[in-house]
Amino acid sequence: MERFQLYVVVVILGYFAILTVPAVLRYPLAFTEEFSEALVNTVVLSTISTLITLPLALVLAQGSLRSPGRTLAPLVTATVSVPHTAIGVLLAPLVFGAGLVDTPAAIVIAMTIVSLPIGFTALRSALVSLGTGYFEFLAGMGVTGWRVIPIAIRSIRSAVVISAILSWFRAFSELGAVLILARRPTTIGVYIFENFLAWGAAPVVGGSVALLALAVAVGFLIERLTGVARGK
Amino acid sequence: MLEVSDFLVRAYGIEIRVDELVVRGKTALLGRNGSGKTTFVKAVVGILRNERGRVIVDGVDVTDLPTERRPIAYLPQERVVLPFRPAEQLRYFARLHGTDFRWVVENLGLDGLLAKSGLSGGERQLLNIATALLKGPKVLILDEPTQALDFPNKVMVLRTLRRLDVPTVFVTHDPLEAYYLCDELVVMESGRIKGPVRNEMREWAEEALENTLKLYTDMIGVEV
Repeated sequence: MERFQLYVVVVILGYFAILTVPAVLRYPLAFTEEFSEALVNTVVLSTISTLITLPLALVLAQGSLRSPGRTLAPLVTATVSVPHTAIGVLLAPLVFGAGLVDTPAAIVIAMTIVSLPIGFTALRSALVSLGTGYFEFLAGMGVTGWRVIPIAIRSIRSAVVISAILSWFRAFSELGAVLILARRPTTIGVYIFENFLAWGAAPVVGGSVALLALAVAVGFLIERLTGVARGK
Repeated sequence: MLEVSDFLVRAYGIEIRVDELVVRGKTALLGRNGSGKTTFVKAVVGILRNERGRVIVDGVDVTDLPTERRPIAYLPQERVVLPFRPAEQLRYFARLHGTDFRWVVENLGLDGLLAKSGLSGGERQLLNIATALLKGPKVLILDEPTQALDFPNKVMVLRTLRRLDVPTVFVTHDPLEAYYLCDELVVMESGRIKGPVRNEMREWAEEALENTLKLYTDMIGVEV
């Protein structure tokens, strides 16, 4: 192994060790029944959110390749750079007004708003990589607007899968907006946050490590899908 | 027949002015990189908006029609790889245009291509040309269709194009290809078209191309 590659390995493992080792050494890896319930809630609501996000992201990504969609694209991605508590505050009048506080619907709305930019960006990059000629050829052949989408989906299959995975995980990991709009049913982020405030880190380290392990597995899956790990 | 007249388009930092271009057979549009060839044909196809001028196909003014409704088939410069198997691609677009794809396959001699899955660059271009023909175009515009193809693949595409009986604008910066394929040549420089001139070099080009191909056949056993 070259010295530079050794350096990279040390930094990556060091990064991960800082995140996990002190917590694992200090606290027991225990799981509670409430944790499992919160996990199930979050999985179900994230899945519903992704089912809404993905088609929306596809349509927006396709529409954003040409004006006026191209000009308006920053409106979709802007929420990435805003603290998600601010997103929660901005959604509050809608959610409160519709009587959706502390409902699954409020959580799905929050999850969808924050995951849409992620799904959109992944799909848009993939569509751009097809090249303008791809769409010009289709246009010349009479395939425009909505009709492009089923063909383009087939061309960017792995990006669609990645977009779905990233959107799902973004929804799954959402805390800020959910905290403001709906603490019940309890999602995993809210569960960890509330338990930490009440009891400290001990009861939630086990769950947090499990979530991280899941995220790592997905990270490797995405690497495999994109071909980065194989040097493509 | 394609007629472009009093044409003005400004895009990508270049201004194209074409007083008149009439395409009856196969016309090569030659020119250096950045001379405006692609910008011009994109405007003729309707992908870019022209500020002035008319595009007339077989006597019908198509200037105000969107790209998809113009009776013009266009193969862009970039390599287009659609997510279909060859037969599936032809079937899809044949259904879209209410036609049968078998006549295209027979006319272009593409039977061998249909069952293949991994196509060479040249085969991919032939498939896209065949696809474009399914639209039943009155004019074919090919923007450097042999770009990035190796020599045998290039010859395969050029030979097939010679069989087509559709008025064609063939954009290239390779005079040999233009001489081999086209009846007339025009040259674009800084957004202005010079010509047309009749192609009187076809025999020379055929000989040059076939001789070069023979070299390939003799030396590395490539058959086209």
